[in-house]
Amino acid sequence: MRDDLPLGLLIVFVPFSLVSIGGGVSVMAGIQHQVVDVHHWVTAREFVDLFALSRASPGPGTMLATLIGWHVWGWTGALLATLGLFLPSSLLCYSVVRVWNRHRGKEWHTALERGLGPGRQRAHACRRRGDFGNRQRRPVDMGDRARLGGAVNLAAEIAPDAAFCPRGFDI
Amino acid sequence: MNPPSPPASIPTIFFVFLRIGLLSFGGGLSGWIFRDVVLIRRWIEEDEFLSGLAVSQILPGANVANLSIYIGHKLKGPLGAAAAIGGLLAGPFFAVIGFATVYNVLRTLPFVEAGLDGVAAAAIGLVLIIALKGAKRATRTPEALIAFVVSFGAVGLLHWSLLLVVVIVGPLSVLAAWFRKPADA
Repeated sequence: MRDDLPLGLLIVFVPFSLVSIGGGVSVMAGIQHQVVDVHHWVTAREFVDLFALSRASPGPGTMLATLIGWHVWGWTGALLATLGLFLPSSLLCYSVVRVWNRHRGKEWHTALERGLGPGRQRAHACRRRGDFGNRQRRPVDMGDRARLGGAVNLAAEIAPDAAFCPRGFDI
Repeated sequence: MNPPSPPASIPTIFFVFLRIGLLSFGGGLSGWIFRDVVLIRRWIEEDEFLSGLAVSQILPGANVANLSIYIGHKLKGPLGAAAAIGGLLAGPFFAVIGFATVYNVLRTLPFVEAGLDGVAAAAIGLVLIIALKGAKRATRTPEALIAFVVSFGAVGLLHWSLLLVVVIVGPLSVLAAWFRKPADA
């Protein structure tokens, strides 16, 4: 047990939650720096062990946070670290999704959806099915599409995720 | 083709995502979710799924967590979203702690320690592959290359705060991408 409050876990993980664009891998280096070098909650060796354990277990790789919390403060720590890393991004996602679904079918919604092309094309490539491209395309301002495409590409560049091409994804 | 499934209830959503969470060794969760939710249960349409996937990928947070929230919300509103994300994380939460507990008991055995070292090496290798692929893709345009080098130098070499670097370099890089005319458009 440590002297500093387990709430320190929240202070460390909440900001990472909100910048983990592209998924947990993108903030792994930052988390390591914070928990090993800055707060000394775990040693570098322990961090690698916990990282390996989180990878050998089911679930998103970000469950590493759960293990760090558990390692230092037991169940309270595990719960706080998990909430810290998952709750802020989840609430943000929930708010965005609410707006997103409410405006489905509107012109700007369609434009955005088309603009997110790179992600969709990638998903499509994984499926290796030809029928998607035959669908009638609604006209969309190419400028919007290109700009949004750039932003999406950036997100993919910061931390590309290989999750959508799983084994056993047989269609 | 499967016949349409009965409409999703909150407990069903929870248990479907609980199962997906527990089965998801080594990633690839989006594919499992697609199979279960679109192909087998036909809860949502394929293009709704892809739209949700795109949203999940640009927002911060684990992509699968965001995707679960999207699907849960689509099916049953706020409670559906909570059931989906709760189900997805509940299994892995206890599983990782269980694994860690077993490891702490068995760590004195030499082959357990060696085995975990092997897992660590493999896992780090996989992250490295993703990083290298990303690096290749991230250095195609000059401004992306600058953002890449600055981020790497600041976080990797100078050990600046990752948060600070993302908050500063991220928007600048998006801005640069915004003003760049893409070659294919």
